[in-house]
Formats: sequence, C-alpha cells, structure tokens
Amino acid sequence: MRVNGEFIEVDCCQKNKGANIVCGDTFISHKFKEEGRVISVISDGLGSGIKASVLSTMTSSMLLKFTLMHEDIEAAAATIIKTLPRDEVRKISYSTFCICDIDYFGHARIAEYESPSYLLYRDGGFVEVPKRRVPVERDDIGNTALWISEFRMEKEDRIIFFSDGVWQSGMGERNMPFGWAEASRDFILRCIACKPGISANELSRRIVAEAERNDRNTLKDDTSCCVIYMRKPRNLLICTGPPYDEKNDGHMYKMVEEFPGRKIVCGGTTAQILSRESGREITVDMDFMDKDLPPVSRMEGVDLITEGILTLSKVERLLSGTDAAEQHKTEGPADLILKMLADSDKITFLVGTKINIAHQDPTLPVELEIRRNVVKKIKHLLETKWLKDVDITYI
Amino acid sequence: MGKIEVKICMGTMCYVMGGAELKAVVDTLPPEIRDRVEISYSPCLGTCNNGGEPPYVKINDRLVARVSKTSLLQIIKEELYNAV
Ligand code: FES
Repeated sequence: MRVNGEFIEVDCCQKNKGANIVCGDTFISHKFKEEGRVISVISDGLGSGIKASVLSTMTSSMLLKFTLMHEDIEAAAATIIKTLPRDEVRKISYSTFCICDIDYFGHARIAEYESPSYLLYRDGGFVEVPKRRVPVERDDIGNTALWISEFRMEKEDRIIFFSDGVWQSGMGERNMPFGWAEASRDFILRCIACKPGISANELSRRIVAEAERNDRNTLKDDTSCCVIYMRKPRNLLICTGPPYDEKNDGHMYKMVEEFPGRKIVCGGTTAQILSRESGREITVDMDFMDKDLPPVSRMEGVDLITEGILTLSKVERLLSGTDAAEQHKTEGPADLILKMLADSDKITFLVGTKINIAHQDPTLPVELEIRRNVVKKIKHLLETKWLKDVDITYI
Repeated sequence: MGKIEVKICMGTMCYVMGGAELKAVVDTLPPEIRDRVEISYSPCLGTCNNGGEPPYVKINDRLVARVSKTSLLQIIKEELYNAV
C-alpha cells in the first residue's frame, strides 16, 4: 500500500509460442510489504522452449535479488550477462529484460535492456519519459545498452511493458508487415477509453489476446504483457464464523455494515447473526450450484452469502491449483468467491473464533478443519500467487 | 386443498450428512406430488449442534431428523395423506 492510500495492482498475462509447453519469457513480481516496494520483471530468453526459459528465469530472478538489495543496475546487468550459459549455435548468451521498481512513495525506476520500450499511460495518453542510456560492455555482441528512466507515479497511472511477442505479433501480415508495433498503442488507448477503470488483470489479458489474433491465433513467439496500475484499492470483506463471544455479535454486524467495499459472508450461522442483528431476511438462491457445495444465499447489504467451511476449503483448493480461475469455468459458490477475490486489491478477513462444536466430531470428513487454518492458507495463496494485500482480523 | 411446506436444511452439517442428496429427490418428485408441495431451502436450522441428528427437513412446522433419500419421499407422502 502506498503512502497516499493508493494501491498498486500488478498483473501479467503470458502465452506460449505455438503449442510450446514452456514459456521462454519469465515474469516475476514481488511485493515487499515491510518496505512497501513492488518489483516486477519480464525477461525474454533467446529463442524459445526450455533453453529460453532457463535464460529468462535466471535473468529475472537474479535481477529481482540485485534490485532488492539496491545493487547498482549496471553492475547487476553486467554480472547477469556474464553468468548466463552460452548458446552452442549462436555463441552468445542473451536475454532481454525490463525491470520496474516502485517504492513506498510511488517513485518508479525502470531499467530496460533490449526489450520493447515500456509505456506510461497518464490522463488519456502516453507520456514520454526521458531515458538515460548506459552502454553495456560485453565481448560477444557490441553496441547494446541499458535504458534507465525514473519518474513519480501519479494516481491512475499505468505502466505497461511486454516481451517481443506483443510488439512483433502479426509480422508479415498484409495489414501490419512489420508487426503490431506502434499500432498496439492505439489499441491500448482504445481499451482504456472504453473502460477507464480497466484492471491490470483485464488489460494485460486483452493485449495478449489481441497479439494472438494478430498472429492468426497461433503465436509466433512467447508473449508476455505486464500492466502496473496505481489506483484506489478495491476492498473486499470476507466475514466468516460467529464471534467468540456472543456479546460481540453486534460489533461484528457493525463492522460488516460499515465496511467500505464489497462483502461476502461465508457461513450459515454467521449470516444468521447478521440477519438477526439487521432484521433483514435471508433467502436461499439455488441458481449457482456446485455438486460439492451447499447453495448460496442472498441478503440485502451483503454481496454474497455462502456456506462456510466447505466452500472456503474449495476456494483454497482452487487457488492452489495452477491458474484455477481460468481452468475452472463453473458458476458454483466457490467460483463466485474466486471471481470477487480476483477483482479486489485489498482483502480483509473477519474471522469469528467461536469453536463449532458440531465440527469437532471425528467421524466427519477431514475437510471440516478449523476455519482459521483455511483462512490462513487462502491468505498466503492470495499474497504469493495473486499479489493481493490481505489482512485477517479475529473477533 | 392446501399445499404442504417442505424446507430442506442446506447448512454445513446437514449438507455433508446427506442433505445434498435431498435436492435430487425433490427435483424428481412425481408431478401429482410435486404440485402439492412447496419446496424451499434454508440455512442451518440451528438444531445440528450438541448431538443433533442431521440432515434436517422441516415439513410444515414439524422438524424431522436424519432424513434420507427414501425416507423423505415417505414423509412427504404421509404428510399429504394426513392433510386430506
Ligand atoms: S446444518 Fe442443518 S440444522 Fe444445522
């Protein structure tokens, strides 16, 4: 979270060349909560397939570490170039990269090495940021350089950077013989004009999808696009479990009622407490079914009510699977939660700690483990996989 | 002839203890019975704690414990029979 209350959303969409099973591009992004820093890197390894993937993985992970330690970027780049394995055929070791380091105050520093230039979107257009050229000494290829730029991020700014796959998509097609190149800028402008609040998640997906279309639906290169978007955080509250002490029921209701953002209640008893405190009625809605889960319910003032422990366990399972949100296209209660999680930046869990006597029965499925553990696991997954800000409050 | 009300508990306990299957039963009721029952679903009815016997179904105002796929149909039939 920034000092001025803004949130930085980072997302990256990646697709592999043709039918390749590994991606030669690597994207890593890390939020360092204590320092309030966000570092994101895309690296594109020479060629495609495993070799490229090794090159880009090494490059990006080393860059991330060096940058985190405030190492000088020039020295870091030189070290990396020396460390990378040489390609047998081409006799060079090569990967391009773009790294963006944003600090607590929204100060951004970007270093690019041979990658397509990043874009800075601000107020309906792209801003040209002056770049400093730093030549890189290497013995295999001459005349390469790093480009360094620094600026202060403003509200609603977007930084967009990508691998060659985007810039060169469509190359050789009649309407874009030299690839998408500059025309991609207009596309991005149009996307944002149509939907000014478009999330980093959605924008990056749109850009990659369009690149794929340019290549007649079979990408000619590994394609990655990262979008960093600074904006007001979208808050989500997940309230689950009755408070430890019944006297706090009213307090819990107040916290839910006054929360500025969207609200989910996971747990029948919890929902009933809120219903009692607010005097609003709960109705069961059989529209969103999942054969493993009890149905969702509705109540005024809350966006979604689901069953508690089974549903949260399923959310946890979906999150821990690889890119579950995309593989899984059903509309059950857990999927609804997943969707809302994806569309939020800051997620607060309000966890009631009353022990449910019924769930302590050893004959029940193991899945009925204590709520707190499931929530902790979800928090961890959201933080590491989806780069969300997550807090847990116990009541 | 009034309808009878059948309320199936969809709380966690009832759901895992067999309540999940009860939906299938009421979805496939023979039409002559289907027309005479009013089906609804409910969050935890609050009776599962402390040694309760889920799954629970509420028929009119009567709470029935340990309802199974077969017994549900039976109970509905009985209730209809009593109603005439
Ligand atoms: S879950 Fe059915 S009575 Fe509690």
